[in-house]
Amino acid sequence: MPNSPSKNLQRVLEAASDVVLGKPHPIRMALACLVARGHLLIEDMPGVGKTTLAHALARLLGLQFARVQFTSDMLPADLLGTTIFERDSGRFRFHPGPVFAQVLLADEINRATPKAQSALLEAMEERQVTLDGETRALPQPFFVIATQNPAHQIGTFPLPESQLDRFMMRIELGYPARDAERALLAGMDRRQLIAQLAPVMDPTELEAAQAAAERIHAAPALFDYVLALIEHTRGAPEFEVGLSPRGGLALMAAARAWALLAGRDHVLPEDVQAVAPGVIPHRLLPAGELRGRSAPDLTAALIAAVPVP
Amino acid sequence: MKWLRLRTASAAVPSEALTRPQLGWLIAASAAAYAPHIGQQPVWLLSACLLLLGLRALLWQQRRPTAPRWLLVALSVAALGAVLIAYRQIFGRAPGVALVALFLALKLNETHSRRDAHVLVQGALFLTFATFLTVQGMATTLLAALSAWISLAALCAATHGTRGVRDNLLRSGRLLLMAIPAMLVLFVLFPRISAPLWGLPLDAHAGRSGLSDSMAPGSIAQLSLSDEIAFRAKFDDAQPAQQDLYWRGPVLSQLEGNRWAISARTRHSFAALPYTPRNAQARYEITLEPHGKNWLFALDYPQSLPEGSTLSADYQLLARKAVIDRRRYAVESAPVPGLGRDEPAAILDETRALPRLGNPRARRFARELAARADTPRALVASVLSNFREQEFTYTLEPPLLGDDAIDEFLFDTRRGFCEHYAAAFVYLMRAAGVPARIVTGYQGGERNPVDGYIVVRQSDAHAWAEVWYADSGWTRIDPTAAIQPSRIERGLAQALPRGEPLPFMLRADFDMLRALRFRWDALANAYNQWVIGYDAVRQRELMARMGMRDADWQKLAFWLVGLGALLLAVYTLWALRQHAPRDPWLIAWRRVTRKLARRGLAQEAWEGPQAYCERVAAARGDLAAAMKQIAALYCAGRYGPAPDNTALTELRRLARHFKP
Repeated sequence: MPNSPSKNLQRVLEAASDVVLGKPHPIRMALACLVARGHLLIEDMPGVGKTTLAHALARLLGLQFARVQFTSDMLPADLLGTTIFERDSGRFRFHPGPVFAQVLLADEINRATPKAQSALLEAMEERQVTLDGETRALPQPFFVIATQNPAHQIGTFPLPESQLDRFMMRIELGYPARDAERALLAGMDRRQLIAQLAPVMDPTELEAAQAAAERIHAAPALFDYVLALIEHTRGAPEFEVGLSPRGGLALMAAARAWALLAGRDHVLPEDVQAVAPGVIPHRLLPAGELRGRSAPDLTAALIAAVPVP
Repeated sequence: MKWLRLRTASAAVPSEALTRPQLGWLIAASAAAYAPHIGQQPVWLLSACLLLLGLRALLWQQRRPTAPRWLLVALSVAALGAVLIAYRQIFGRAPGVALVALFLALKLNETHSRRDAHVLVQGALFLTFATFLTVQGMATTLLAALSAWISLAALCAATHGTRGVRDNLLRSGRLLLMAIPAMLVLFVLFPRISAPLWGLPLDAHAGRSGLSDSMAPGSIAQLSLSDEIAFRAKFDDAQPAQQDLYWRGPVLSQLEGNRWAISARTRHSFAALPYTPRNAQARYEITLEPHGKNWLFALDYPQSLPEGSTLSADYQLLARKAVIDRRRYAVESAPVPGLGRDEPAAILDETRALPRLGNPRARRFARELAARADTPRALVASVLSNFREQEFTYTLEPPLLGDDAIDEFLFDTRRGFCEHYAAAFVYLMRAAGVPARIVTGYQGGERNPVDGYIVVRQSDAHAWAEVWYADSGWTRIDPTAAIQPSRIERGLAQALPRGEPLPFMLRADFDMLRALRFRWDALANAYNQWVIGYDAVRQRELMARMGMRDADWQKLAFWLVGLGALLLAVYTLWALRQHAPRDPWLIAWRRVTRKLARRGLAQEAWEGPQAYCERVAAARGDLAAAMKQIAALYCAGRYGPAPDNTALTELRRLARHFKP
């Protein structure tokens, strides 16, 4: 019998922590997002290890990896692929774009024009691409990690709120702690490390883990809690826009994946609270007191305002 | 979950500073607290408060910080000074209320934190309550209730800043509704004493309009322009005819210049009826509005004395103390033929007396008439027929009269209101040597079809005359009736020439308005009768009707405490039921958290069980193992897929034996 999904995922986490140093929490969030079949948006400075994280995860899960640097002159075809006439065979042949990878790292997604952005976002939502009247399914599993650079917004096209909703989570990596950075400086080149990584799971096992996450039990008391959170975002004056039903579904799915990572067969309020900083803030439009507060602050305020029933 | 806890410690705890909507609520609550004071407090005070309130509202609206501290300090000193100047003291009811009003507005200008909000709401509630120190009418009560509603909503908003306007209003409305049973118990059972608890000072009714103890030409005409209610009367059986409703008030027998006044001689009063009581022809109850004087009104002549009243030597009903609260009394009346036949000579002399000089034409005229008439009755008849035959006009706007007012009126202007006719009549009588005096009071009244009460307004004020005949004593003569019979039969509005300024309520062209006014009046009257007039006597009546005999204060207090405790118990049980968990797992878990809370380790409302368990384990190593076991059982039972009963039993057992 193969190892249980949660054991496998534990090993993925451990192995990834050896590569991306000092970031156990973001790694866990990213993995939970993946297990919950969601896409991930990382908002952070260049060079903090976004690519390393994405690449390492792909490698450990035995998935193909592709990376696209988004630029302002990028066209949808650069992403999706294009049909080219081949003289040898005298036929048109489709050359798939980088989107046909299992893990796609879309770097600096806000540099591209809305046209290219929406090509990616559509692919993310539908998990298929329609080109020249032909619909092509994307590989299974399909996982997009997009990054945004928050500091330099000049000449960019920030994603509108409606499109942010397509990402299950938005997280930040942040600088590594001193010890982790020392280990990083002293250690091997990350790219070599990744190349040496052996896959811990195969796509079938990942599929099994995703299915297992969906079966994690959520009790009525837990639904009461999630509903209370959702209602609070809709009723309270601190939020101009509350959580959408899609946001609620994402919250539940992520909490289930988090519970699976913890090796539990049921969801606790703590699971919801743990994934909330990734799932909730980018879907809300804070007003009043909370305007301009950071995502963790926002989540903490929300959680503190809603009692666990 | 450490990252979360660290964050919440600094940022997520709801801050003590008030948010903009919360401040908005507080501004609204303060404004509402001033509303019942409009018309009660001086204009300068209300405008000062309004300015301060407006200042805060403006800054709030423009999202600007509050006024600087030095300005507020200066304004506070100015407020104190203004109160000192206006009232010459800062203690007492009126200056006290003024200070509360001003400082509420000032406090609003420095309200930032939740603590300030509590102070402000309490201030607003107190200011609202202070209205009842001066007025206690129904409209005031409604306004005060509205203000209390808004104040409580502001308190709700200050406590839970995240709720919407509707929610806060509903919540505070529910609180007020919940208070109603307690209010009723307190109202009905609280032992009543004869005066209001806070003892209204005498000056409270200084500015009221009403009859006075003297009369000069024009004073009643002035009064007739007022719509204010003088009293209400309710007849037990048939109501006498309109033209017989002469409500006797102050009797004026002394003439000084043009001014008629109450005689010092008749101030002597009887504690018992000076005549044998007869069978009553009219039984009625009067609810007298406070007027600050000690006269009561009754039809001629009272056959019994209401409690705390006497009868003056000129048969006017007098209260022992000035009427400064609304007063209700029952009277029976019947005519007493021949009353005053044995009047002492001193009184007869006084009612014949005239000033030595003045009004020569009137004196001459009286002598001429007296020479032609052989009896006083014939004289009266000839004077009245003179009024009828000459071109006398009944008007609310008589011309101004000089020193010889009677002469000018009788022979030159011939335009006057009831007091002119009564005065001229009495003057002529006295000039001819017949004892006569002026009686002031009210004539008629308007029957409210809604509740059957006769409403007597200041506009019904009237003056008539009494003449003394040797054979039948004092006899009422109303000269106004001779000139303008419709005044007596159908009221003032019918009697006045067209185009004269009429009291608003008497105008015929506002029929719908009058019907509305009737309804409002009936309602206000019911409120006065049952709420404000709920005194010791009524309380005893009500208690007797509910089967409690001789309700003294001990019995009432016993029931008050008993019912109060019962209500408290009901509320408490209800509140507990609202919050009591139904889930058996949660009940067992709460048992544990309660024990820990007593040790200073309470579970935060938002805290999940696992996180809480970790926190407890970190704080109390000795409990770590037990706590982990309990938390695991609880989590699996409450959130797990298939909770089983043995686990529940185990959790209950652990919870019972858990000893932090």
